[in-house]
Amino acid sequence: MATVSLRKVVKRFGPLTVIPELDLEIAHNEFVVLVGPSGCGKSTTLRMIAGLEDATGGEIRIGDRVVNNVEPKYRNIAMVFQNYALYPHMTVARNISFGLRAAKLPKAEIDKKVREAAEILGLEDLLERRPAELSGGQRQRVAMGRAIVRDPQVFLFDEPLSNLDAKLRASMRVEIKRLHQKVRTTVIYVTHDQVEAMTLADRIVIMKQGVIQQIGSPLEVFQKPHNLFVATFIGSPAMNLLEGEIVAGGDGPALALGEGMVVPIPDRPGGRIEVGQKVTAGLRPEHLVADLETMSTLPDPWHLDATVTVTEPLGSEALVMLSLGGHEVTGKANSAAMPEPGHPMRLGLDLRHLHLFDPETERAIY
Amino acid sequence: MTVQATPVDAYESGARIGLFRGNKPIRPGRIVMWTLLLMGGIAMVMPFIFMISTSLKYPWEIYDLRLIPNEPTLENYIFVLADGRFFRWFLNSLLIATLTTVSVVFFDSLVGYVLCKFDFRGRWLVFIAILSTLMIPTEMLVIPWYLMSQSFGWLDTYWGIMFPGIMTGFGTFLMKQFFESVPDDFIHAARIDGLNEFQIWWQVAMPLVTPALSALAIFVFLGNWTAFLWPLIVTTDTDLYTIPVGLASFSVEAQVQWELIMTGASLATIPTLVVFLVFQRYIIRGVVLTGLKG
Repeated sequence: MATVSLRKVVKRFGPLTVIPELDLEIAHNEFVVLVGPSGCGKSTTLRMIAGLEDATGGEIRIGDRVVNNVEPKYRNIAMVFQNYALYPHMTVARNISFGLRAAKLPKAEIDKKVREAAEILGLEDLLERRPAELSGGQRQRVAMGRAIVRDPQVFLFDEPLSNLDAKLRASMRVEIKRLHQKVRTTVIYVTHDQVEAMTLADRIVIMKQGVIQQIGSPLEVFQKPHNLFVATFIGSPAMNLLEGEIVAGGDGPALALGEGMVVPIPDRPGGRIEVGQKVTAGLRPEHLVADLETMSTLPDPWHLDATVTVTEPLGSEALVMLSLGGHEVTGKANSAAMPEPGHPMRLGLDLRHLHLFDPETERAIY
Repeated sequence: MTVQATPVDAYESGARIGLFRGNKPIRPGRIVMWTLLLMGGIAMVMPFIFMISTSLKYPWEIYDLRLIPNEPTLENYIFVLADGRFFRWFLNSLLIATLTTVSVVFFDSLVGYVLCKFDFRGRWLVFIAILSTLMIPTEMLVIPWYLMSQSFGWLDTYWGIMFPGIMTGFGTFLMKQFFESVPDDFIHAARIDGLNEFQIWWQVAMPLVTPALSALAIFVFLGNWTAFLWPLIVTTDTDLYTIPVGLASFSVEAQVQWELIMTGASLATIPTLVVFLVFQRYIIRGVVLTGLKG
């Protein structure tokens, strides 16, 4: 069982506390993505699991074994690095087999494993080349091959796609996902790219300043962010945020957004809102609908007057920047029915997806 | 698909590297630069040519400054090579320079690697201590070395000649700086791959700094090949002389046998020439990277 468990893990670099206290349980065969901005402690966490950094406190388990004092080579892990870390003086075959040769495995077995890995990753024709003779994507595959042949309990990926161009990154994402389906091993993957996190993960761990902000499935963190940080970090373009106040409406509480704009707050179980409370309201661009055709598909949209400032066609849809009661917000529209900049329009709000946050604690309250 | 260079391409590429200048006048700055380089080149090469020329002269002709001897002769070479001492000194120099070079390359790179890639208390203190040894001139160290050699019975031994140079502050500094260019991820990857720290240094880090190793090896080899002061002081047995010390022995109170000294010196340059010719691209790279002259 390749579970990974971090209990009260602390990491300090001298006087600087990078990870105050971290608890994380990763299930067998799970694909977990640690995501967050630079300096949030995600790579440090991964390196502590790998044994490349010592944990200052707490306990790290791989399977049923505490590994805090176990050297990296005995942790039964494999790691793919951001810059691939392929030994430039060795051929692809030697790079892939390097760990196996260090473990003094029989040559026949090494050859077999290298062949299998090369087959899985489509590297058969490149085995005698050196890393300098490979493209970025090929190097990345070799780095994965080096990880595969070790048959590790846990795969660790440290921003493996960040050096690739957008197109290659998309295809490598698919390859990594396919690889996970093939080898069925626990994967811990670090990235600052929320698209990678959303597309690859079984569960996403969102971190900020060494603290886990939320753990959940991609859909869960997207639809039910626990706080403002998660709400704005996940989703592209970012969620629109508007300051407002809870007021008493006709059928229950409503949200006053200033300039006479009041929107009803749909009844939802678990909401902790009171009249007079200051709130930060959040609505994703896809729930600010800027074309009539899409609006007609919504069950009960709320309408507000806005002015289109800029449009950004993306192909099938377009981003529409709008001025809404003095606030700059981003909505979406069907490209075919894209409004003209400078024109006033009625904006459709899908309030079923409204989020409310406490401006002080930044926690979700609705 | 093959691409053929058109005459225009050839012209453009030629013009880029300064082959064709058309009607453009050559800039005065360039003329000054070439003149200075030419003068520098002549200043460098002349002693070498003069050394060869003198080695081909009879004793009565050596104070004639003409470069081409009136009666060229190989007698000096025959004399020096027939005298078994020169061959012995040549082997002594080769042995000492080779062993010292191997030792320096091994230990300096090991210490440089540790200082670069390991984080331990007092690391900077150790590094500064090593660096500070570069500021002490050899002349100041000679007397302590001699007293030490005398105490340990190392006078007139190979070890006595070699021991001051088996590790160098310069080499440690050079290698530490080069190891800075080796990304830590290689080392981490090797740790995960199951190598121990010595294997990581030997199998992963060392191949990545081959140019630096070559440059260091060349500097150290040449330094030891031409070393004079310490081997002169520590040896009295002529069988242990190195080539520079042996050549100096041709100069005695009554007479300086310039033709023999120049012949020996000419022969002694052969290994250094070979080293330069084989490794010159590494030397250039080493000088460029370290800003140090050979």
